[in-house]
Amino acid sequence: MSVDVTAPIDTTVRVRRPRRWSPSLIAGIVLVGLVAAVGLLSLVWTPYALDDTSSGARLGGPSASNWAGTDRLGRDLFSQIMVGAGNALVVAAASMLVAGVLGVLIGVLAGATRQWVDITLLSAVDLLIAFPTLLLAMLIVTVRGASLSSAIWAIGIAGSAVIARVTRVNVARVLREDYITAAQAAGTGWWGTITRHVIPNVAPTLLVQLMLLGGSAVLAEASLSYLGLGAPPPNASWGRLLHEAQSTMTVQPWGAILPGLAIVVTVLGLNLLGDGIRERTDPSLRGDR
Amino acid sequence: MTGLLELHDLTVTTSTGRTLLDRVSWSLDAGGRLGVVGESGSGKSLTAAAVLGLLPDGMTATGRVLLDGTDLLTLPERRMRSIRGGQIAMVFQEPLTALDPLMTVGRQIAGPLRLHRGLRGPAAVAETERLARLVRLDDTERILGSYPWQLSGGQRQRVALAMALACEPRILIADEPTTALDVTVQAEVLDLLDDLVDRTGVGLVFVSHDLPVIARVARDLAVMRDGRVVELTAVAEALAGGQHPYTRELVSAARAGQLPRQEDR
Repeated sequence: MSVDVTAPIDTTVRVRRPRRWSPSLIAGIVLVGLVAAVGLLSLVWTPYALDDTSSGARLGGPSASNWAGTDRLGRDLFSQIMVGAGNALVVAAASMLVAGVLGVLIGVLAGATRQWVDITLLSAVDLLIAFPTLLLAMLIVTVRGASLSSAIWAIGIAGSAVIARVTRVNVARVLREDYITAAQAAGTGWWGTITRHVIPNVAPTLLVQLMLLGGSAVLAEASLSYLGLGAPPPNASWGRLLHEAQSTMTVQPWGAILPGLAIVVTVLGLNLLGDGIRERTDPSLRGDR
Repeated sequence: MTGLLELHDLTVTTSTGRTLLDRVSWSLDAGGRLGVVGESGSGKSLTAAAVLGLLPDGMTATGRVLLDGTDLLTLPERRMRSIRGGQIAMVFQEPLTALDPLMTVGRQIAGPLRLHRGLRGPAAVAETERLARLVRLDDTERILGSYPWQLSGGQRQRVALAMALACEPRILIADEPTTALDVTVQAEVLDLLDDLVDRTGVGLVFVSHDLPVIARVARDLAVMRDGRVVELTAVAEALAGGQHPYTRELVSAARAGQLPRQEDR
């Protein structure tokens, strides 16, 4: 085979990089999308009302009328799992928001201001990381009462420590870059530097970290409601379904298997989504430069 | 003699008491061309950072940096900000790292326009295009819409020059602006710089370790070593054989390394 060496070399620079959809990104979108769709549907329709005990036998197995069976009070399990999906995602999204806003604020202040601010905030963050999330949740529940929003604050505040650390390291890294000095040499002030150059450059890393946090938020919400620190009945939560199924596992195993499966699917989906975003944004993994 | 930018005994010390710049003094006239030469670590870049008030944390500058008689070292940060980019602009060594990777170069050139001249929207776009032509970037539309990594080294450095000249500064500090470039591109950028200084009348402070490069654009010369200015002279005189032994050493080193170029002059 011969190569035409006289052909003109294409010197035009590629303007757009190829945007590939990695398998993990697709799988993540599909799984999270599925859970979100079920959760949204539960807002307008569930097979039975959550407190409807008239439908079928207690601790019944899956049947045509009760797709996932019933619990020991005769309530439809499928309806509860559907509502649980919505609650799990609401808690995940809202605690990601809390953790994101709080964490970025602390991280930027620690990474981009004076050294004593950094040391103070970093110590506070270290303390928060060392502080058991469960204890924090119990404190918040004691003050505010058990509810969805208490769970959100607990998980969000605990998660903000992780986000703050990641933000601080990345802000400090970006601030050492030449383009920051160049921006300052061109007269950009502190605020302009942070909003125009630092935040956009740390955002991809933070987004991935937030997605991964979303996965653990779903797990945390399940743990909290398992312990009775989540949304109280009649609202449904996967964690409480697990708790209630614990004593009747030998009679009706579906009560534990299905909520467990729902948790696995959701956490897996969020983690895959995080990985997929990372693959798209991290230049070292992109391989097209 | 009163210059546009005058350094009087500029001294920079670290918090641990080490002296990094020792009584550096030189003066730049309006439209003047000063070369600052010295090996790495001699304090050339630190001088530039001190002039702009961008010293790393923990370093303090003493002495006087006079811009039109105003001491920049005593100026509040707020006023300094309008001087950076507005009165004194800077071009850095490595144009790839000196440009934000996530912003199109068009937006980056427009940044100083917005900060110092309040230009937005179509006016900013038109001015950005004018600047792109000024630094001889052809195919302006594509280049302005590109990200830094999509451009060649020479194109990037032209973008950096356009950014620096955006607000018609009176002084341009170029810190090794051609060191990271290929030799042929280096020549192009030097010619461009030479031409821009002629056309805009901007005062040039050209920092480099490379005497022949400095000789192409600068008239006056400050030779630095270990944080001190060891000789202030004219470039031509230095090439003819400077007073200070270190200057002579630099000249002979440049001769040895650059023989072909000396011949074709």
